[in-house]
Amino acid sequence: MAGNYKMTYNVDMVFCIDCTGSMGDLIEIVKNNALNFYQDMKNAMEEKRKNINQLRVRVVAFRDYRADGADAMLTTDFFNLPQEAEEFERCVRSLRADGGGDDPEDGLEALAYAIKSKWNADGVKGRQVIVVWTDAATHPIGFGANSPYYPNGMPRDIQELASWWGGVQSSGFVDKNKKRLLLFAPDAPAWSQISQNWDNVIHFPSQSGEGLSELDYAQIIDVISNSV
Amino acid sequence: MKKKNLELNAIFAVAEEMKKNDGEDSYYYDSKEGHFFLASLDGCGGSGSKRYMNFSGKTGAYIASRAVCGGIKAWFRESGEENTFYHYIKKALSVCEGYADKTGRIMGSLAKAFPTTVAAISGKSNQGKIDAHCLWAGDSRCYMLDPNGLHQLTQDDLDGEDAMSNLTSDGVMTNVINATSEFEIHHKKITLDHPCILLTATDGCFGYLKTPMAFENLLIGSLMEASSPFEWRIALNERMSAVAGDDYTLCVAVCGFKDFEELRKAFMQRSTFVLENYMNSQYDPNLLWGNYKLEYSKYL
Repeated sequence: MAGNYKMTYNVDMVFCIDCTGSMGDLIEIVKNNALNFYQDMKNAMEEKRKNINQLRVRVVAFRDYRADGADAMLTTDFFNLPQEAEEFERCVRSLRADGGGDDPEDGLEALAYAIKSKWNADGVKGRQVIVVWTDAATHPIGFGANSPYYPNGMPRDIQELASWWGGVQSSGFVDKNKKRLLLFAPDAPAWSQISQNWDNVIHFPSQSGEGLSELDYAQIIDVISNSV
Repeated sequence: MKKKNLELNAIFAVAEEMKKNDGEDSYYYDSKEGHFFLASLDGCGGSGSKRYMNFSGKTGAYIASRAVCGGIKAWFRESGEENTFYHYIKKALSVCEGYADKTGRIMGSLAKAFPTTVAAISGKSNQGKIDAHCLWAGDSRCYMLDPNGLHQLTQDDLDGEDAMSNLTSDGVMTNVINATSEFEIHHKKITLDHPCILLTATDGCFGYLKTPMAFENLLIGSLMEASSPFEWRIALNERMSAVAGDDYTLCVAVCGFKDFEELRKAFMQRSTFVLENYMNSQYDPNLLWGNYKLEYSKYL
């Protein structure tokens, strides 16, 4: 009977976290926010009486292939929360702000990893959310391609990366209705280009070293919980 | 033979917010001199999540649904003309924009200033008929319910296929009232010459049910439990509250029935039919929808 039916959601989230030296002041805030994210999301959803059936989170920590070599990118599988909360916490706690070389970082390669996540593909209502936390502009895709640690299978350029995200005319690797990209990133190349031109993006422009105010964080929770 | 005048019998709203004092829906209903009006609005929480200090820290979505509702109220009282509806909405948005603090920017293709949906019906008695004028933007809906079934009158501004697929695909709206970009207010006029119920609803009313058939069952099932409009309103609220995962707002106008008993009797057979053929059926809901949508989509 309809009266017993309760709509539930499957939510997948990927946190792309800039772990370069310039994130020193910011990274503890980012880490704490990432760790609180599950409980804050759960609370926000419960307040709205929305039922999360399954919440999965994975981490993509990024730096700079040219400057940091083997430490340029850390990717995890999805953690099922709350069952794997301890593993997720251990992973986030292990992140350190270090390296990075020049000012821009390899955030686009991190985004590429995030977009190609093994998303939950069942037909149930849900969201596929990527959250990027950084205080730096990005290098062009392939800037670090000379590094022996640069991965195979990256997009050739930002246009190809955009096609991975998908648009009105072509579907990418993320479900066109479920996808959301939340950028906590400066209004700088290539984040501003993505913010303006890709579908389903919300961009909170950040300032280097200024951290996250309570309001900004509350807004991020609002955006996700209201979008689910 | 002279036709019975289709007078307005009852007009009311059923609304609940999930988070007390932070709900993003709004509504307005009114009547004057053979003219009635229903409007349900849903501030868009995702794209309008920016908080404004000048508005007591409320979100753009919260402010938009109320401000635009105020504009619509002014429109009904001062004008009521089709060609001025859009301008009253634009004026309400420009007041919000003018007062809003400019701090805490949010950018991006999904972010909008003061986004809200609206579904409204302006109804006029006209020589035994009701001239119903639907105005809408976004995924809130206008409906007509009669003993033949529930009929969606307005096309959702979503890129989904139909009301069934929109329940699970949950896509981004392709058109919504906002202060950032251009938007369209859709219009549709229909003339009704039989007793019926007109409704405006935000997606919290129908978007958390398994099928569109379940929404009709909710509407007429609760009607069967009631013996007055007041009791029907309570029964509607109880049923929606049990399933909704979002704020919900339903405005209802009942037209052309002699009294509540006649209204109830008119839907008795349909209530049994929906229960037996759609709610308690063992067939795949998608197959049932294929059959149901012929009547449901008749006015789309």
